[in-house]
Amino acid sequence: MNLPTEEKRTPSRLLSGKPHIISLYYIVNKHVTLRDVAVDTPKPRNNQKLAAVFGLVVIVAAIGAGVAFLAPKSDGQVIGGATSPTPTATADATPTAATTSAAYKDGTYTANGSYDSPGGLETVHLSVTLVSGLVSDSNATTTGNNPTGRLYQGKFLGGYKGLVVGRNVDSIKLSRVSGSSLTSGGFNDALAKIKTQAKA
Amino acid sequence: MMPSPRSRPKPRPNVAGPATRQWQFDAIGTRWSVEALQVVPPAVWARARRAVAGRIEQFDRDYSRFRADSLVSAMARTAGRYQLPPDAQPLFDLYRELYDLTAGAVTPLVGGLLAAAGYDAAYSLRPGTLTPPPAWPGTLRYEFPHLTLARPVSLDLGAAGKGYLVDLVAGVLRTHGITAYCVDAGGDMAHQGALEADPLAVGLEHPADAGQVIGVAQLRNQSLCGSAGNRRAWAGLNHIIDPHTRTSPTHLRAVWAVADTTLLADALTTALYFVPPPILAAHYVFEYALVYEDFSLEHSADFPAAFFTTPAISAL
Repeated sequence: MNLPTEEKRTPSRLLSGKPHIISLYYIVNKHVTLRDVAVDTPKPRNNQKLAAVFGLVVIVAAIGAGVAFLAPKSDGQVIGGATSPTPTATADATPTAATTSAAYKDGTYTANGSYDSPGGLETVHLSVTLVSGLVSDSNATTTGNNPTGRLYQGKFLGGYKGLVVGRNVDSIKLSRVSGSSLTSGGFNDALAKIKTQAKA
Repeated sequence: MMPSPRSRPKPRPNVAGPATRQWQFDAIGTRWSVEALQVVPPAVWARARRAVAGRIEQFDRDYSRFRADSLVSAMARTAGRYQLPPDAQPLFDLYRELYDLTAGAVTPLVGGLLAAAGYDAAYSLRPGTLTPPPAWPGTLRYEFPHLTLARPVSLDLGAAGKGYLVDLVAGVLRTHGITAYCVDAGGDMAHQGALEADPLAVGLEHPADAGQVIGVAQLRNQSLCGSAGNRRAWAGLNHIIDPHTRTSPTHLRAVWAVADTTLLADALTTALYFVPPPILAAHYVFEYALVYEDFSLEHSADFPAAFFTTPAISAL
């Protein structure tokens, strides 16, 4: 990564290329690197579980392994990670596909990740509850008790605001709307044509 | 169902204030609304409209990858040293910085890749062979007002160009004495209110349902830009393609950024697809909101919006 040097960043640990706190947060949110992590760091202990309930274990394994995998090597704060998938609810034994979030079975999953914080070795215990393939709840606790570590973890969890819920545009007084950029005729016409041709 | 642009909520009626003027039109592939939030004499408004149209036409002639007579189309045909338009410096300066901050993910050299993916002048939308864009070093030498191309390259300034044009149009309004306005290009907008005016209530569109919003931003004298893949999407791709993977990012469904300029807000909505927010926050002043693949929300502490979410997740 062609990123600025560490000295330019404040606070440096949060702003390194793959900050571990940010990475943890992304993992809870099923960041795209999840599957990379699961594929790239297969642990013998997890292999059977990966084969059995791949969709489920992707999350759990990634939470534990991701701490080690995604953290910047230069910082060296990652000591190791351990996973302990404990689904409290079990759906059918055959996941449909591991490529969509719908493949993750409902249940509560936990993982522990240890890392070297400014205050010493700390362990983060994460739990994620899935309902209908979506994160319905998450929690994290830490063994660390130094102010700096708590600060980082506070930032990490502070950013997570639950799941968005839509309200009808008509029910709210608005001056404007912002989202994906509106398209004018050309793009829509072309897309409609492509779709028609694809069905033919 | 996606509502047509015309079914978008109309500007709030001005209860106590003077009548406002709004002008809607299509340009650079999107729907525009230029609105004066103050009294404007008809003759001034007519002159301002002509000037805005001329400014947009000039920008298109300089920077559009989709028209053969543009400057960037000339660059795609012939290498060499080009004199950039007088307005190019903020745009190219920002691209150069973001190229470094995102390890090349945000790059103006993505034009060929987007065209190969089918996002071309004819909107063919049929992906061909996708090859990585050339690296900036060794391909471009940028020293304003000059840009030197080692070989012909297709530049695409879509990550920040529209936002920058919003700023330029706002500048045109100001030169005509219109100091309270909202310039909105397809959901990317700059607001400047009259003294003590209310902020602008901007609905944040649900990334999976254009008939719904997931929150309401209160925009006051700043710019707000959004990005989501639900409209300009085809063949598993959308208007953002990661040059490294040659795929469209799927971990985020929607991104918004608020900043002092629309140029910056627009560029950051793209950059936020590629790097964690703190890396950008070390260099720029902005607020952000992200909706992930699973519809979970992350936003900076001071993002000026009220969001509609499930009950708050238990914190540490």
